[in-house]
Amino acid sequence: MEIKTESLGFSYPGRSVLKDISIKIKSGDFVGITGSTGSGKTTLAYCLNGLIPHAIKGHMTGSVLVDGKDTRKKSMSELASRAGFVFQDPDWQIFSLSVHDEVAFGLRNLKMKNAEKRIKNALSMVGLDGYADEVPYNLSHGQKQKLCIASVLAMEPDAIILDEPTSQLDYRSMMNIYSILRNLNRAGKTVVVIEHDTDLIAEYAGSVIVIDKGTVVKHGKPSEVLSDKKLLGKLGIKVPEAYR
Amino acid sequence: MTAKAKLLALLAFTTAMLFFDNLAVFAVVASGLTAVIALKGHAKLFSSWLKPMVFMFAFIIAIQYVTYPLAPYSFGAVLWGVTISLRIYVIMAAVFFFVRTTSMSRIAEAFSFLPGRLPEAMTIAIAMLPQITELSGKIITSQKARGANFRSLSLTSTYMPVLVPLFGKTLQRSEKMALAMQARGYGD
Repeated sequence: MEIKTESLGFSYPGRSVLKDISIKIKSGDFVGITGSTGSGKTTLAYCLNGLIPHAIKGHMTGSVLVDGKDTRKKSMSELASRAGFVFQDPDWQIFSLSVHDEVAFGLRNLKMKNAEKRIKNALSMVGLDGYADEVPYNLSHGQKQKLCIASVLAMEPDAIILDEPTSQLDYRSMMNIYSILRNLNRAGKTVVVIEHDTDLIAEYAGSVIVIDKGTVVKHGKPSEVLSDKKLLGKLGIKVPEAYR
Repeated sequence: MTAKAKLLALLAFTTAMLFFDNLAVFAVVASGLTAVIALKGHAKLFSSWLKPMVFMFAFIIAIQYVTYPLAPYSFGAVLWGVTISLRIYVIMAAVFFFVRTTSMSRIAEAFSFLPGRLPEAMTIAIAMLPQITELSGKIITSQKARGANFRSLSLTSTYMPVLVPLFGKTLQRSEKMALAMQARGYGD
């Protein structure tokens, strides 16, 4: 599934966040989006799966095309089944009283068939087999993040967009999440991840987008983008170990 | 016993208690419920539920002592205050017993008879309770670390430093949760 933005701009009431962003994410890509705090990364991610303009108020200019079709012309549920979104804090997303029900939520909304099989597969993909009857609140933070990924995977989207999925995790859980993402990417899914940790992007992503003040300042392979010490230093982004 | 049956029993019991005004009945029911709660091993938790109510019970008795229409400032007025307090106590004990003996998912299930999206809203509200409790605990701890005195009854110095961030965070969380639900096709 290809995601393309053409001269994308977005302003929250009284505050411009994105300006003239034109990027292309090809089917099967593993893309890392990085930038300093407040640079517009999360807003861009909201645009990519249609939360903007469908669920978030503001003024959007330009367009986002998912497989050539404008997100404005597609419903949120159509887009949800194409590009799944995992939020930064799992506690913002989880609300059901069992792991099973949490994963089933999206399937119920989209009236998808073979729900039980999909739930089982999704939980297995993230290593939560046997947790279906658990209360999500009792899971560890890493397990909750895996549950959020599973609840998106159950809808079998072509792309999965994650907003800083490892920001509150320890090193082992971080690696665990990224190895799940790598497996998903190898299975053909497009993965877009917003990430502050450039070491992780350098290791896992196939391409990197650097954003500053709402515009794309560099887009390319990690070896080209993350080795630009001058640019990263200017933007306050850490140069990954591999390119020091 | 199903959760729905338990909920109906609780509602029937609460309604019945509202119609009784006999001190002896309340005393017997209160003793029975307290004994059951203690036998189930929940005595410590129940006492923590009761602690904030002690002031209220004392307040009710004091008010009745002064305003009891039949004979104010009499022993009868005190007994009437005790009767009202015991009524609240037995209802509290019954609710406590229901909550402690029914899992959250069963409680949510019990509300499935509600129309439209209300059962879903109930589930979310119940699921958010532990998160809000944890959040308020964190806020109280952090305000204590800055010298807040929670023994004082002052609204501005005691409750505002807890309520303002608690409401703010809860609203922020519910907004994000709504967004996350829409991202999974809810509401279309």
